[in-house]
Amino acid sequence: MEEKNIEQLFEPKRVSIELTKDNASFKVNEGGLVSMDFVNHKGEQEHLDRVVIFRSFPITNPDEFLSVREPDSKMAGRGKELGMIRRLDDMDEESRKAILVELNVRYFSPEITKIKSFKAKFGYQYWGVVTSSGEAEIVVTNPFVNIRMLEDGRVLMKDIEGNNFVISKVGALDAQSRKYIEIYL
Amino acid sequence: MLPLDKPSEKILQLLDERSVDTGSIDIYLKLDLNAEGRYGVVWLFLSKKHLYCLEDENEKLSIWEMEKVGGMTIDSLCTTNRVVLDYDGQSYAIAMGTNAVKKKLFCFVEVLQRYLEGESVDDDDKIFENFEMYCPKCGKPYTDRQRKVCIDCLDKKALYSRVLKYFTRYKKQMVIVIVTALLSCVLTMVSPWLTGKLLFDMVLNPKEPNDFIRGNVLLGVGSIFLCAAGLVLLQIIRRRANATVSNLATRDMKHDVFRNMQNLSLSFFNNNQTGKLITRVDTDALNIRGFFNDSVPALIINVITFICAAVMMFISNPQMALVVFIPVPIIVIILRKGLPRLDMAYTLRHGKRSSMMAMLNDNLVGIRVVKAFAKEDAESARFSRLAEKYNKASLKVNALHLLVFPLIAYLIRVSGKAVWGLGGIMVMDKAMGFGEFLTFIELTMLIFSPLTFFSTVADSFTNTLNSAQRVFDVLDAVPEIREKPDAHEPENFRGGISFDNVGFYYNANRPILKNVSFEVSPGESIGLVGRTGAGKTTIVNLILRLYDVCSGSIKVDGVDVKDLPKDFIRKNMAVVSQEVFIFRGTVMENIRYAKPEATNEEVIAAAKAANAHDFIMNLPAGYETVIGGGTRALSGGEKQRVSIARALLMDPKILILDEATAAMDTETERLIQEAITNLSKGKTTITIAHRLSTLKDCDTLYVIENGRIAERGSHKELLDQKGIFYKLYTLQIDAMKKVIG
Repeated sequence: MEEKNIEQLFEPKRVSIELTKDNASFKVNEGGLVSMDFVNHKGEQEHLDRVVIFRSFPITNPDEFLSVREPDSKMAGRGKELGMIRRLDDMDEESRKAILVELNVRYFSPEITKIKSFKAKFGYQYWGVVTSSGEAEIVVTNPFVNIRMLEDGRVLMKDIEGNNFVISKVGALDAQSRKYIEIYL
Repeated sequence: MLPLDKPSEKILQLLDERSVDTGSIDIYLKLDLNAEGRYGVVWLFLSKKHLYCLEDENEKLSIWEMEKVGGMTIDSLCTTNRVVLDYDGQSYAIAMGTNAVKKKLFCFVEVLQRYLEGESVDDDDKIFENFEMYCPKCGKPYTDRQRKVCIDCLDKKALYSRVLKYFTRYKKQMVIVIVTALLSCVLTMVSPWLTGKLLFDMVLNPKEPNDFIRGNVLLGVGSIFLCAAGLVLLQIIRRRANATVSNLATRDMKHDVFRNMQNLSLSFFNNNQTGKLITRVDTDALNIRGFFNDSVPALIINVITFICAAVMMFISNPQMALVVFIPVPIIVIILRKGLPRLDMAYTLRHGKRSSMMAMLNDNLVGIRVVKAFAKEDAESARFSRLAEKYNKASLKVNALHLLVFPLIAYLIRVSGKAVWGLGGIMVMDKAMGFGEFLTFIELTMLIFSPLTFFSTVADSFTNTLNSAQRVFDVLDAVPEIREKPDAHEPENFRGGISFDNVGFYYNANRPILKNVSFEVSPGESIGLVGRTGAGKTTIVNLILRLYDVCSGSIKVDGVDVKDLPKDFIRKNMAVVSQEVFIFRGTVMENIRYAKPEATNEEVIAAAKAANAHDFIMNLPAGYETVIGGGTRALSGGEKQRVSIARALLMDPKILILDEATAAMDTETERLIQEAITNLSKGKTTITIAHRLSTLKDCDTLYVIENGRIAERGSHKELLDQKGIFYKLYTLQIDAMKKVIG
């Protein structure tokens, strides 16, 4: 009796499984959030009204190793892992779109297409930029940490609020914008 | 209306058109992202009955009834925050905002939650503090939220006068510097006149040949010598006084920086790598000193010399003076163009240097790990990469330097030669005396040396400005934890602690504690159990007020810790933590750290109680052995015992043991446990431990899980609950059983 109790106690409620198009599908629900239907580790069909999705490698490998989790507490938003998606492209079209809706919001990083103005003063840089999400005024400090160039040539910028911005190809910017950014690369 | 955002006229008008009763709306929140994830304005409003959402662009208005609202949560995503509404049993993502509005968003949700619970919120509620994040003058966000100083609106003059204050404190020396500088100027102006006009035109070539007197020659030459000797003497006096002032000023500055750094909250140190801080105190202060040592008095002398020489040149021969001044505007243009670039290059170089130093520091601190993983080569490679970057930045500075300044020097030389040519012709034409010509040439020298100086001083001005700014960054950083002016020590402190709905996060993305409430009566001993990262140590840090709570309150003996003097808190609470730090010094000094006035008897008693006495007596110089700072290595357990002795010596009302005995073998742990049990009688004790055996003497146990108190009660109660604690317990028993077989 006692023995069985302990066994039950240690039995995990969730076991993370590999999610594929054969065992899982995602939808954007009425509230704009993502729901999932899947076959869980016990082989039961299960519906979750809301799941959250994270990238394991948001910078270098955004579309592989996605972690699908239960929304946890009210604020943290990170509960138990339900499963992982090895490659986003392997999912069916509707699921893929639904997942991207969630991911694009979660990893919101507008792409800078033009730098309109720039001013540096006392170690702070004020940038007026045009991004894929509209125009913005951003303030960056400590540019040697917060502006960094990746090996593939993309430039990541982080402003003092903690917002992220990307320049996918410095060479593609106009001359004026390039002049502003190049000192920091 | 509650103070969050102010609605624009347009919004109020729109609401009127849609027949929304604007009078009933209590709070307005302006968000900066629209539903499509583009920058745009979206408003959230809240009245007691309804929640509204209005999109600025398409004027779409959504209304929710508060009756059906189950709650509102903020889904903190990586860079955005999604507002999720529980409405009629369904979750809706209703709006989004970037991190810029995050604080306000949390505040809005707090208000909504309180409304749901039937509470009311006043406009002076403390949740509305800390929202003035934008400079009132230019509207830009404050670059440093703790300082609330708009860097952009700060002027350089103020910065200089602030640096100057460090120097003008030493009045006597400053007077000496200025007086000798002025005298030097006078002598400098006199000497060309002596060599040229006096010696040549008046003594050697008098108008009447009969007036030539040998004695006068001696007098002329003698006065030239005297003048030169006077100059040297003045220079020696000035430099000495100057060196004294600048040394004292730098000392004061370093001292201020160090003291201010000590007072800063831990979060400041979490944000700044130690290497960078060391650079600040050291190099930057040195930079400033160098500037004031060499540049400021020289600036005074050069400005005066320049003006006087220029005036004298124009009086003596305007045509030649013009030739001298032709290159001046060109030089000014070159400087104007070149200096901002140079400024940037300096900042870049400084940044690269700092990261190189920080890496060096990291490496030296973590050298054991490096060696354990045989990463010496990889680390060397990493260092040389950083060194290479620094090198490149340095080269950039040099390249600019070597372009701007030689160009200026060349221009000066060309105009100098032109003066020789023009003057030579004039002397031959007898339009000018040879002596007068000599005086003029000497004056030319006087005018160019300040010009070269001005161009370099501008350079060191920018350099110093950078350094000064960084030094003041540290000086101006306001400690997040501030003592209230009316803080006073409670009488008859007994050591009760209560947590009331405490919430805390280092980073708003990741809450560490959520609604933690518990009460410890004076003399009670409690234990905190939970997984690594569950928030146990945070609870301790909050009691010690190393950080301030983000919501709720912590009280000791019924008084909010925020209302207590910092000294008082730390004097009455002792912590023995898992991280032990031994200062460089003797064992004695280390134990007496918190109570320097302790007698030898007390120290030995504490060491004995901590079971440290025996190993201390085995050290070569007993209690006077120098330990710490890489001198004599103590083992982990030995260090731990020294730190326990340190805490015991303080004899605090509240004793906090944060995994204090984790690094010890079971036998030593048992010995120390006994010592602690004896000592903690009548004291409030908080013990944090993974090993449940460590907690056997606690009256009440709290199981912390994900920043919340998941279970509470005595050992027996918790075992009966068959929850997390039971699981831990059986796990540890199970492990023991396996050992026994």
